[in-house]
Amino acid sequence: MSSTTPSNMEGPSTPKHPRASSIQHDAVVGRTPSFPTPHYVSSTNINDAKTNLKAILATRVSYNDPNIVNVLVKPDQVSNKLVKTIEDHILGYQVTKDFLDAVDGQTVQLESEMYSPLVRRNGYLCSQYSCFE
Amino acid sequence: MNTITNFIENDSKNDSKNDAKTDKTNKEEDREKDNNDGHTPSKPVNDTNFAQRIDRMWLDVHTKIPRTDSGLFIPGMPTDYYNFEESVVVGTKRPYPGGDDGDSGPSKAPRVSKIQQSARDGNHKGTTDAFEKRRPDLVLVDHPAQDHRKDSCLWRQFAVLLEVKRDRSDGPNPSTGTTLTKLVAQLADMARLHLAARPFMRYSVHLTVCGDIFNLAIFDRAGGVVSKDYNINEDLEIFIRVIRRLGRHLDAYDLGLDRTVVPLHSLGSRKQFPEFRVTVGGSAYITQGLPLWQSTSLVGRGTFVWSVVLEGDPEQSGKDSARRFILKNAWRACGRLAESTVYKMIYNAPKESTSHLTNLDGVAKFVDGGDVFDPQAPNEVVKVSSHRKGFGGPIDEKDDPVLHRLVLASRGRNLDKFTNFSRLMRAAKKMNSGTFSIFDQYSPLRLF
Repeated sequence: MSSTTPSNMEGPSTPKHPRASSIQHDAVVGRTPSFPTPHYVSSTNINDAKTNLKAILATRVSYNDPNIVNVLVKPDQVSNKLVKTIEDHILGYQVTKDFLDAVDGQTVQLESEMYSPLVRRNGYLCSQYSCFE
Repeated sequence: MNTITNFIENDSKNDSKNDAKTDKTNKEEDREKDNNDGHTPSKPVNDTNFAQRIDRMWLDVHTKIPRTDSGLFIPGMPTDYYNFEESVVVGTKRPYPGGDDGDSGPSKAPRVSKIQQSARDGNHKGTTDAFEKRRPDLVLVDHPAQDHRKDSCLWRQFAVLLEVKRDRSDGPNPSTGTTLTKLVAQLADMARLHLAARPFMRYSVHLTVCGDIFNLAIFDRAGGVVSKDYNINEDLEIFIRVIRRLGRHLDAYDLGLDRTVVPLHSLGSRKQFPEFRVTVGGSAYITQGLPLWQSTSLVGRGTFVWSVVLEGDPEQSGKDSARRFILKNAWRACGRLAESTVYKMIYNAPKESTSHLTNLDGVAKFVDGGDVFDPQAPNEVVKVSSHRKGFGGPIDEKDDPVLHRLVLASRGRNLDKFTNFSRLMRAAKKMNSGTFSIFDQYSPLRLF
């Protein structure tokens, strides 16, 4: 056999194909995909969105507006009788009264500090909680 | 949902107890009792304007990541709910977009999902997070009474979004000056998604409860307005009234829906993406299915593009195939020439004045369009300032977006629908024909 005959003992001369792991997601390289990518991936970089919003909204938000509730919601159009009934109900119930006191004193417990069943994350649908707890 | 907070239903129960009446009777009772100035809080069932039907409930979604309709792709929202839920268990919600300053804010629960943790730790930073940070705490959703599913909801069902923080220092109003607060940035980020997912909205309504302070805020195409601080203990009466009004009295138009469109299906339907009746000029068009495209930016044009059919089109009644058009709904900068005007100029120009131009095959065929007039003030066009009358800072006349619509007869097709290369290239040639005459001379596409 001639020495010029290709031998399968030699390594391939073709360049290696790039490793699959080097192919990055659109979101990673800051590219907007042209089609719906897997749903775990957002094409919107949240830090960019934050920066853009801050820049754009900086002069476009009105604060401490005294009229928006009255103009937009018109709370006066709820009957006084109904409001009084609900208010009495809330303030007459010790649990809600204690809660409002806690809100006032900023001592409301975080969910993570509450008893376990409320904060358990077991991967089931929430409607199934009652079945397991 | 982890917890269903249904203040509205509780209201009804209270009413029932006190007045010993049914829920239906209560609604009538409310209409009579509440001092409405001619405003009808709840319309009869046979009314075809679904915007005026008020079936809402509060949902606690802070442990869920709401999705959008299958097939509707909005960056920042998951679409395939169940696949998403199976592989990504919802954990701690980060309080603000970005969160890069290490301020974790009020923690709610420890993260337990290894999938999420690896996503956060690995190279996919900013992917799962994007959904995590973009979900409200509680939402007031349009929810038809006959729909018994309460375990999930879609972004387009949201009528009002509510964000809760433990400390009053996290409130939306800055302590000094007008620096954008973190909470307002967070609300604005959710508002832009809300406006993208719920079509034909003029503004997005938000409530915030931070410690004992609550605020109302709206975001529209020109920015936002945040109310003054109300104390939930001192102003409990106002809080009750606001919740009552949002849940039982204000219809979809009052909560931001464009008053010139009529939804033909329930806004709260999970299965049916609502069709809308939209008037352009003297004709009415019906949207078909999902929008073809929607903007996800907050400030700006907020463009929606729809496939529509002409209402009562004789061709539609006689044949299976209805004549389809393209409807473009967008807020234009008032200082700029309207797009419909540009089309009219192009098509009304005498031939001799356009003879030096390349042919206009690539320009869409204009049917109708113009600025949208306010039904409540027929001589005025709909602007952002139209719904801000009486509140918010003054809007610069040069920076007051105007609602604009146009209908085009030319419809494209998806790239994946082309069956051969030459047709695709002919389409590309047409796309360029209106802009670049040298293309014809030197492009190999002239062979086609």
